[in-house]
Amino acid sequence: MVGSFKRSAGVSQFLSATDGLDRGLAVYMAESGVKDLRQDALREVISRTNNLAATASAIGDPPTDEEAQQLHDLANSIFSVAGTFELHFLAKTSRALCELLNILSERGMWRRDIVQLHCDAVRAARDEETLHQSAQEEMLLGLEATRASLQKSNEGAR
Amino acid sequence: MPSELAGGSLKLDFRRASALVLDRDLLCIQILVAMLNGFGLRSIARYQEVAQAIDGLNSRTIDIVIMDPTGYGDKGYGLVSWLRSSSAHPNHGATVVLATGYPTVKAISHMKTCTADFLISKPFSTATLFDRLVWVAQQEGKRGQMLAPGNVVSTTGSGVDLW
Repeated sequence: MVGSFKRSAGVSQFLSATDGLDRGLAVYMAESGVKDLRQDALREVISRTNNLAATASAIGDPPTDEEAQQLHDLANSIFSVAGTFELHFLAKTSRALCELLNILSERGMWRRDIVQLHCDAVRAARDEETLHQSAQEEMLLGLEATRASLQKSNEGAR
Repeated sequence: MPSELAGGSLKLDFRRASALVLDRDLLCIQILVAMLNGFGLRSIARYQEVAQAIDGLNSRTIDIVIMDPTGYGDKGYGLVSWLRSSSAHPNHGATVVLATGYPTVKAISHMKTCTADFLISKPFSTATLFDRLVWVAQQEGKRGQMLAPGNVVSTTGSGVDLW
């Protein structure tokens, strides 16, 4: 049942050359609001990485489609917020896991060892300040190499 | 980036705007609401379920819908298609922006065809969201085409090349 109210004209009506906030002030105000969420967000990210580790251990080998989707959703939920709070290493490792799960799904295959490796990296990245920049880069390169070799071996098998 | 954005000559006067945010992830809702509040938006309906969002769309004027379709199956995309195909609906003309992280392959094809206006890759910064809202506002008359401003949007942000 649709109520009776004014028709929407979309967002273009709010574009203005004179009124409203200019870009600098709007972004500053928005960043202040996001900063207030930081502590809660960090706690939530830790909870999600714990959940990811538990899920990765619990799913079947190979997992059902639902289990694989659950793992992807968890990795994606970490990736989606980590970058907003400057957790760049965590964002990169969780993104790498999403990418790996997409590769495996596309090819209809499963490699528990490589998935576990990526999950371990996400967990390590949670405490990214304890890892030196060079160790982080090395870890990301290692993950990338495993995905690349997976793609290559699969292409060779076709 | 377009010069008017870089120079900051265009503004968004969101004081009278009304938004609807739909996301399974409560933290993502909180982040988005904090950003939109900072941009001057005061009226923001927030939902975690598609059915609730439909009720919200049926009860008040919504100028912009920002939603992450992840986790809703076909229902999330169905909401966009329903709104776009219901020409008599008061919110038929609302701007619809999809905000998504790293979608599955299946989700990408849904996003391309559900007739949303624009896609933003999570995680995004406040500056990115502002620039993209300005860009979307400038695209009047090109609704439902899932357009991308080549010089503003990084299509590799989440590893997904939608365009």
